Amino acid sequence: MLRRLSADDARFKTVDFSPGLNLLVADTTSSSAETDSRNSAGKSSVIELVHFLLGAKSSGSLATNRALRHITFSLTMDWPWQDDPLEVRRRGDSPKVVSLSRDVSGVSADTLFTDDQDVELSVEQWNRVIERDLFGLDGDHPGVSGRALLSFLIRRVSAHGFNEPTRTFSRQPAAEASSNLAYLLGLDWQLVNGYRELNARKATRDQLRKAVNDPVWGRIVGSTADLRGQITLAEAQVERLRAQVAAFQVVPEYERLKERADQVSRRIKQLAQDDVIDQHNLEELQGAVTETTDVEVSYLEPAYRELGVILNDQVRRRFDDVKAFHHSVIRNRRRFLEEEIQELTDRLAARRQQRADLGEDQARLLRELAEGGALEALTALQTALGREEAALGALRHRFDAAQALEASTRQITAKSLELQQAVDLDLQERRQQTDEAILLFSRYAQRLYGEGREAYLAIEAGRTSLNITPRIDADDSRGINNMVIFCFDLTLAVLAHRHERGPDFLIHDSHLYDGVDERQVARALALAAEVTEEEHMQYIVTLNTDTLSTAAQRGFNPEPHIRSPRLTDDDEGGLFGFRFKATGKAKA
Amino acid sequence: MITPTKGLAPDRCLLAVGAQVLLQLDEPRTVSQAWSRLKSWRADQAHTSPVSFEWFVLALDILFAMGAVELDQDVLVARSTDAAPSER
Repeated sequence: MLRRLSADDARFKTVDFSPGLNLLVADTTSSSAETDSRNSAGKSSVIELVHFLLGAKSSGSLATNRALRHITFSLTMDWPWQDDPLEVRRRGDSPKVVSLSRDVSGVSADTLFTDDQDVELSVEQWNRVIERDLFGLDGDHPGVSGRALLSFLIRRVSAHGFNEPTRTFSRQPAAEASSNLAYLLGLDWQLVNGYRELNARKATRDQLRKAVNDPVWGRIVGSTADLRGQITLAEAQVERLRAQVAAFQVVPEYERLKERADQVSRRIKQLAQDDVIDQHNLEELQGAVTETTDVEVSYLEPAYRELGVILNDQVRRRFDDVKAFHHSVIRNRRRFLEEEIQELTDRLAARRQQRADLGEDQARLLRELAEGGALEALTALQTALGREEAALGALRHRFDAAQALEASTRQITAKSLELQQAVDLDLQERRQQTDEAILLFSRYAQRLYGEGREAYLAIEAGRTSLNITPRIDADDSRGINNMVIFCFDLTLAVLAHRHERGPDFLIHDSHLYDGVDERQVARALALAAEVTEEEHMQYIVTLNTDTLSTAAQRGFNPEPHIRSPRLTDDDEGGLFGFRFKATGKAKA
Repeated sequence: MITPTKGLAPDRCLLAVGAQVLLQLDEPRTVSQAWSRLKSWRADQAHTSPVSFEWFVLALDILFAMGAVELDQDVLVARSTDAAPSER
């Protein structure tokens, strides 16, 4: 129950509310020009301010208007399980906090003496408190929020809340609205919320799909067919590397072995060179051994005799003597040559053996080198394997993603059918709840339009959301549509309050009654007065005096329900007591 | 060949080898002994250029022609050239 809307600005007209029907009336004054509209009186502002104080977003809100931001607004209201009314205060220039006259947050206070102390809460905390205490929503409740629920009980003109009965703002997704409506109607809102989740998934999928079809971005994921091929190749590569790593033998001191192999091969080469020289010498020696004949050297003597002068000094022996000497010296030369030949032959043989040994050594070294490798080689191989495995993993993830993307269309369709069936079954089993709502709605509709009109509230499981269709059979005039909203809201508020799922107030703006036949206005107000009294609730409605007077002519007595103040469209007669320029979306 | 040239190491020319042979003939020695002592002496002195038996014989021939050695009952004997009168 709301008690009072006030502000710390002296010009502000404090509005007092009482239980039952509350009429907030705006007058036209004689000073009003034809172009003036009563819209500036502040009727919608009352609703905007109540929303602001009940935790609405501050951006673009009326209270953050430059002319109003320094004003602290406050709302006094009854709070469940509290004896005294609670006062909520919030200002446009510090919109992130609300201050409460008493701590109802239930969060353990820092001090023991919090009575009569103001408590500051962040707007988020305040919203949690509202959800918990006014709507009985505790813990996590995805898809249903106190703000959305409040928007059904306090529809806002600024959000085009009067366009459709089942939406509180013009572009509200049906699935989101239906989760909140299901909660107010006492249906399985968690089940209904499945629609919202499916829609979200579908939206995500559509985005991804778009991305995949994009020629550039599509490469990030790719198609399953392409990816399957790439995965096969990558798997083969990984397998090959893994086998190599498994077969790899680490040879200790690989570098030393390599060094040794080089030495051996150098030595072998050297030996081969030595052999060539010795072989040549051997051949010469063997030639010398077989050479037996002495050549005729008789021409030497006459030739040298010419040079006798020179030779005479040094050479004392005749050639013949030298020759005789020579022959006697080399008499045994065959033996010496044989000795040398033997020596060379032995050396060659030794080298052959050495070469054979070295060759064997070299072969062993090379084999070891070929079969194994150094530790670094193994590490490099393992790094390569790791890299390939990571690449393969990434490919598999992309494959999964691509597959999920391709599968999800079918899945979403299947899921939504499944959900539809589940919700359908749930609705059948909840006949009592739905019947209560349907009966209430048609009772209210018939009070307005008489027994003759067919009025119904259809609740059925749809493909993409829970379809809730309130309808009063008529010629689709704007007036009828507004009265459908009136009946529907009244039904929601009464049901929610009856079953402790909602607060005890319902607020309507005068726009709801625009274009409504005066008879229905009168009947609606009478019905509201009656129902709120029965249900111990509060219905607050802003009206223009002419609407009210025509309703009064139709037999409705408004006097007991009119609350002070009466607003006018004078400069000082409005809610705020002064005129200011409205900016942004919110209009005064 | 007798004296060192561009292609002939100083420790290998016939005169040098002849001098080396003379060093071995401090006593009268057989050809084989002279030959084997020359080889070991050369190895000791690190004269690594090859000297074959033929070369050794040529060195002996020169020594003989100069009257520095004689063969006396198959034994090589070094002679002072001054002591040996020229036969010319």
